[in-house]
Amino acid sequence: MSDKKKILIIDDDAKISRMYSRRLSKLNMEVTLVDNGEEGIEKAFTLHPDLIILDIHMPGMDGLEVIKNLREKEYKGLVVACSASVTAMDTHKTLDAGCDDFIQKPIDADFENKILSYFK
Amino acid sequence: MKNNISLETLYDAVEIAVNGIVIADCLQDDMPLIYVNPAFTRITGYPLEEIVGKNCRFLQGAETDQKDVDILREAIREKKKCKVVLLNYKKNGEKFWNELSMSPLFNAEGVLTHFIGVQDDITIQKEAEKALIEMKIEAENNNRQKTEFLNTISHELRTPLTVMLGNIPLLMDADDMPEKEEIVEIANDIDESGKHLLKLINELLDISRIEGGKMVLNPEKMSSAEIVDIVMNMTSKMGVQKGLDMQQQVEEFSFYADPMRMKQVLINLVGNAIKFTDKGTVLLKAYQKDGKGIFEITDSGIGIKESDLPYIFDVFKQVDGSATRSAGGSGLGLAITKKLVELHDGAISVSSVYHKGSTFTIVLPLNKKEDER
Repeated sequence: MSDKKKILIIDDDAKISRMYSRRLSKLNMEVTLVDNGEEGIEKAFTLHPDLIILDIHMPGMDGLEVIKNLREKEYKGLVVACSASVTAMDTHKTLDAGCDDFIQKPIDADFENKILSYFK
Repeated sequence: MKNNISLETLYDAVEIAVNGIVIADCLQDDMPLIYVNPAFTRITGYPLEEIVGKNCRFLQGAETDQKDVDILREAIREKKKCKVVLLNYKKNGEKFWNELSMSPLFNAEGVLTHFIGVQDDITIQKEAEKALIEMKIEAENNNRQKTEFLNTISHELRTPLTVMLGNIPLLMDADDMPEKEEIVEIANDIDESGKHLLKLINELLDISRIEGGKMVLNPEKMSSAEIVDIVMNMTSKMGVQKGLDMQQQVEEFSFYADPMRMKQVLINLVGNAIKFTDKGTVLLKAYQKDGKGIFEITDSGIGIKESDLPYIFDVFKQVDGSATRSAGGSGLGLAITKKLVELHDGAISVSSVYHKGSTFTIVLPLNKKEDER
């Protein structure tokens, strides 16, 4: 695959976003970071990313609202929730709201394989 | 079958019974009472002569449940036995729970002649039952809060760990290291996250100590001017770096408090004021009013929404978890601050206008605590 995969990260924590960015850049992916839901939704439609990694607990518009909004607007792309929340409730809610998968923070060594698996 | 027992013995038995016993005459209109035993008088306060000829509904009152009364009426109409527990009123107006059994008495022709009521005051049992139910509900609430608290702690601990554990694999292959500048950046991120984690753990320990009643204060005579100086010295650099005008207005007074904890409280509040103010002023005031020592921290920062104000001092319930986190907070600072102020017999309050700024006010007693250690 010659052209780079585009990944959009929506996470309010700059340190976590930088970490994703470093890990995914090593996979030769093009990473775009935004720190809030509103901008994330806008970027989803303008950037057409191959994958969105979405944080759940964010100030203002949280991840759950973001995914609901995206799916309401018929956004068809891959969206994976990635959260430090451990409640089954949060996991279910994100999947019910239209996320394609849920990744638990902290991410582990298998993170890259998991991301690559979405493109197979 | 009534062999060997005299009527007199039967009468004595009813008279000395522990339970209240009443007899209502069903051949008269409105079933008046024709007898109550001494136990009934003991329980209700009504002597026989006062109530003879009256229907026993005088025991009922405003809070008596009509459903229970209906059960009684139904049994009387059907001429059947019944047992109810109903709220009744004593002669002095005091409420009591009456466990009442009613039995119909028929004559040789099968005509209903009397209803016999046997009653017991079970108020103590009822109250114990109510207390138990309340305790159970409270325990369930505590349990739920504890679960929520643990979920939140878990989330808060995992967040800095995500930065630390997520970055480490980038440094594990000596033949494939990031650029120099990036290594420094990674080290800084991990360092900050580690410090954040440590702060969180220390604050959790503080909360646990305070809530377990294990926080020991060492009160000393303190000077308002001195503590304000110390706090401003420790915080103003951070404020000046953000371009804020750091001000103080001090009226000297002395008070008794634990210097370390007092410093923690004021640094937390001034630190918050700096964190949430992008331009303008942070002011620390100290003055006396109505025999109390007052510390006031005012900022021209983002302020707090009115709807969020009631929760501002709750553990982990601060307005924007992530906003505080990105500002380096744990979400426990204000909860600890409030508890520390209260341990000093003081009070803390907040007033705020969203987008204009906030004022936190601490009111402390000036006199020495009696039970000082």
